[in-house]
Amino acid sequence: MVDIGYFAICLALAAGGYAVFASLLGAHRHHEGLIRSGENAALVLCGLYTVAALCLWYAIFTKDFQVQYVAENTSRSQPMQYVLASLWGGQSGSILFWGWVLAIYTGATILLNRHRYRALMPYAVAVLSVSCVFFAILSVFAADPFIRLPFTPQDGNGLNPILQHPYMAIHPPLLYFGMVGMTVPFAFGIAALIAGQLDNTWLRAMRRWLLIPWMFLGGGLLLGGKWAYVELGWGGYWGWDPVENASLMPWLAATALLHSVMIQERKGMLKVWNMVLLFFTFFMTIFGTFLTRSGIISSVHAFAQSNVGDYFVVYLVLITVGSAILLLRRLPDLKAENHLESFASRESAFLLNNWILLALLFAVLWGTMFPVISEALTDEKITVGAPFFNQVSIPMGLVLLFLTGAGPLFAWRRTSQESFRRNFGVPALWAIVTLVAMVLFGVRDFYALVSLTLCGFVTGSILLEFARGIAARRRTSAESVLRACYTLLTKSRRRYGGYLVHASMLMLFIGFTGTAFTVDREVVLSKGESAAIGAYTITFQSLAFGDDDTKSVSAAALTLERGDSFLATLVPQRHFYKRAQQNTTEVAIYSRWFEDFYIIFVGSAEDNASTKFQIYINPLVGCVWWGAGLFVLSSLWTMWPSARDRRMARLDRESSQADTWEPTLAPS
Amino acid sequence: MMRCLRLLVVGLLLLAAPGSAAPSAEQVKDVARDLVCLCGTCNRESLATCLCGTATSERALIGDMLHAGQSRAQIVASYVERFGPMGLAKPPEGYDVVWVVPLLMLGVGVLGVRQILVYWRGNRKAPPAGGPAHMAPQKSSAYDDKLRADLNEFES
Repeated sequence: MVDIGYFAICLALAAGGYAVFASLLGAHRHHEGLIRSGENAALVLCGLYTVAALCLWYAIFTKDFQVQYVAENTSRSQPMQYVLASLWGGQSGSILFWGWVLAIYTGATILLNRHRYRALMPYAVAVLSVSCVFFAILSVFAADPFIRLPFTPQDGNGLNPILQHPYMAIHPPLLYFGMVGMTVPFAFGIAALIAGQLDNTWLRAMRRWLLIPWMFLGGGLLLGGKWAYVELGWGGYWGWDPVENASLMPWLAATALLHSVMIQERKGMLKVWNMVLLFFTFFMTIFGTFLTRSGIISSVHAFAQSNVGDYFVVYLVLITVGSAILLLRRLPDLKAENHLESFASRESAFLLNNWILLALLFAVLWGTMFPVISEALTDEKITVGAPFFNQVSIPMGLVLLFLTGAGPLFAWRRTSQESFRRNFGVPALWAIVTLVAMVLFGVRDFYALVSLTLCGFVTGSILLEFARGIAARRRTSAESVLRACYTLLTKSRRRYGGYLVHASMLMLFIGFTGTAFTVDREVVLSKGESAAIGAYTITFQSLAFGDDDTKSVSAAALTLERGDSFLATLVPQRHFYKRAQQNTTEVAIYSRWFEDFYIIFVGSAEDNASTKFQIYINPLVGCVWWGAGLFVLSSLWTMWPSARDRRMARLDRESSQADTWEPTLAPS
Repeated sequence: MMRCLRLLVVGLLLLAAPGSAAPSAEQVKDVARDLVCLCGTCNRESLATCLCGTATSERALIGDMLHAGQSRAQIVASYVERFGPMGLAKPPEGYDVVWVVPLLMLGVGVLGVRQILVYWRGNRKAPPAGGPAHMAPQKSSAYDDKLRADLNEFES
């Protein structure tokens, strides 16, 4: 099977090359047959990639340890549910998986646009195929997952124990679908530049393709946070690890782009900027992958150092130079169609949103790369850790939070003083009430006070928007409040779905603010001994040890009480994985709706007379997970095609069948 | 592995020693927050939260040093002496550039936004003679606001 897999990936490389050639030549000669041939070749590429991925999965499932990748990333004792995850658990498998996901996106783009955007499609297919070819080259020449060993080991190394967790089985594929998916909007951007079709068509073509990976990336990041929270055992969910940052940066760029394209759609402004931002978003996905895979940074997530880094550098240079040349050629066609009426307008708010998102992105990029830059220049190794990122990102995050609430309150074109007062009055009142309540509640931490006050402001802003929309509907129809709210959400998915996304951000920020109130205690207890932590009392009941083929387990049982009420028996554990010679912590968490009681079994003294526990009380952390759920659901809601979208798609299809198209290749 | 276990046990015993008037775990962690674990497997996790044997013994050592009356600065300096500046959670003095650049980026961004807004303001098209745009701008009224709000609603 592995030979079939390798053969399939070689054929996929050839099919990708042909798809590029046929699509470009077809577009140049206006030859529909060649263009269709290019699309079909890309679909074949998708099929071949699927065959290659299934072959590797087959080798993993059948424990074919003669295949080096299988021997390195799975073992006989590995639980079946994590065998699936071995496909992306190592360097070469994850590159094959990346290429496969990209091929799936390519296939989906072609199938969904068979009759739409015909002037753009040949170039979009060419760009997508070039990307597929790049990853196929990596799989064939630099990171071949099908290499056989000269012997067959009895057993494999197994997947890294910390990756053997249900969240970890879902989190990496989500991130891959997010990072890889950014290739599609990039392809449409490049296609618009080559075809010279620079009206809003390409924006319509790519908008949903931008939302999909944006949702996957955001969801993947938050799920990764959940995994870190329950598996890594340090009480938090975001550690500013370089690989976390590598996924955050494209998400920030895409978030900026999602906002700024609205200005272009409505006002015909920011055309150059949106192109630059689109290219930069894609660049950051590849750059992030380069960071993870080249070994230039130290990270808990990083793959082993290999020569794929050189290939990525060449690819990054090609992307940058190619995009820049195309953009420069088309600059005269990308002039703004409108002017700004007033600084107090939605347009200005979106610009400020772009400013703070990109400033945050560059700060994260700078902090991530600084150790590398510093070592190259001074030969001295230094660390840029969480204190730097927290210090820099918290103020910027608060500005962003303010803009989340303030942006929708500005009208397009201009906001008069009167409407400014009217729009900001209610949210400002919410902010003041929240501030007073928090002060009375005893909150004294500066950033927490600012953050919660702004959360009050954003809540007021979102509620105001909904209240106005509902009132407007009820004026024209006799709908109930709930019905009017539902109608708003279904008829104006983009606008009100967007407010729901803002609400999810609000919940996330409330959750983030909870870290200011974290209680951090370390206790050493003997059996039967109790300790009071905040309003809770824990009593250490017993210690137990177990052993199976894969790991040794130490577990402690503790009862958790609050006042006189028994809440739960908690069993934090430590696992020692024999093959990997690695310790992992299995934390015990008791979640209440406003806080988590989080306990880690640190270790026991040699005679087991005393055992040490690390305890965190994490207020508001549940808001992060609820916010994550709302983020995914509201993003899905926003991007789900409405009846109007489906009607437009049908019209596009019908008109494209009637029309002929003429891509313009004339140099500007 | 055995080394880690030994360090863990030593660390625990040091912290759990009966009758010891050692500083509290919170005081130790407060100092450890400035440092990162350099055991080679924990990926420079904060020394305050890292659970490996090396981090545990280093925290125990910090406790001893605090108990012996050493200041935070002395303890941090001693750690840097043993592990180099890489042991600090944030860049040491002399690396102010790490803080300056994000601020600079913010400033450049502000200038950029200002330039774009000014450019947009100046990008007015000449209105056609006699057209409605030729009319003198009038002071905004509640009617204008209502119209804009309705248009916004309509466009969305």
